[in-house]
Amino acid sequence: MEQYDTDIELVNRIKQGDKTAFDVLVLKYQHRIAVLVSRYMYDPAEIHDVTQEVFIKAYKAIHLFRSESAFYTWLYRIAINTVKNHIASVARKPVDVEYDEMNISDKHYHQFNLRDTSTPENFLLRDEIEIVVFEAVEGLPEDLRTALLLRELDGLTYEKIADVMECPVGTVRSRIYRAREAIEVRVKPLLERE
Amino acid sequence: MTEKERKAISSLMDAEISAEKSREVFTEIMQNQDLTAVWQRYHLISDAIRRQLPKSVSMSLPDQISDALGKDANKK
Repeated sequence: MEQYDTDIELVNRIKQGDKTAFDVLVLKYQHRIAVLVSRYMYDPAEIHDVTQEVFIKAYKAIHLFRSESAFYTWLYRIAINTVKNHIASVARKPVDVEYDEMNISDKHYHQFNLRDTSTPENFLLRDEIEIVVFEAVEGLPEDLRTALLLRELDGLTYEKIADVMECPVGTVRSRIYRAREAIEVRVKPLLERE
Repeated sequence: MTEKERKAISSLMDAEISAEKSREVFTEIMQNQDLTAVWQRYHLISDAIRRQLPKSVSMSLPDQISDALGKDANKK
C-alpha cells in the first residue's frame, strides 16, 4: 500500500474551520515539540508555555501551509522560530538585582510550581510512563515486540516488516496493533490518576 | 469502542491505511472521546519507545491550547 500523508487530511479539515482536527494534531505532536523546545531551555513551565505558543501560532498560520513540505517540517520551523523569539525576549528583560539569595530561591521555587506541568507528579508521571512502556515492551512475545520496534524505531513500512519477518502484511498489522494494546493496558491506569 | 476501530487507529498512526479509510477513522476519532483517548495513548506510547517524552508530561496541554484558541476567537 502506498503511504498516505494523513496529516494533510487533518490540515485540510482545519482550513475548512474544523478546530477538532487541530486537537488531533496537537495530541500527535505535543511531546515531540516539547522535546524540541526543551533542547533550548530548562524550566519545564517555560517549555510548557513555549510549546503551547508553538501550537497557537501554527493554528493561526495554518492557511499559509501549502503542503509543499510535510506538516511536521512546517511545525518544526515554527517551533524553532518561536524558541528563538522567546529566548530573545527573555534576554531583553531587565534582571531584578534586588533579590537576595533566599528570595531568588523562593522565586525559582514559585516559577517551578505555578503551572501544572511543573508539578512533581508530572515529572514522576513521565518517568513512570517510560518505565511501564519499556517493561511492557520487554514482556511482549517476541513476534509482537519485533514488529512494533521495527515500526517505531526503524520506521519500516508494514510491507518491509512483512519481508523481514517473512509473514503477510495483515499479520504485521495485527501484531503491531496487539503490541500497542498490550502496552496501553499498562499505561492507561497511570493516566487515569491525573 | 470496537477492536476494529482501535486496530484502524493503530494502522492510521502508521499511515498504513487508504485515504478514504483515514478520513473515516479521523471522523470517528474526532466524534468519539474514547477513540480520541486511544489516539493520544498510542502516540504517548510511540513517543516513549522513541525516547521522545519531555521532562514532565502534562496530559492537559491539548485542553489548554484549545482553551487559549477559544478565548482568542471570542475576543475577535
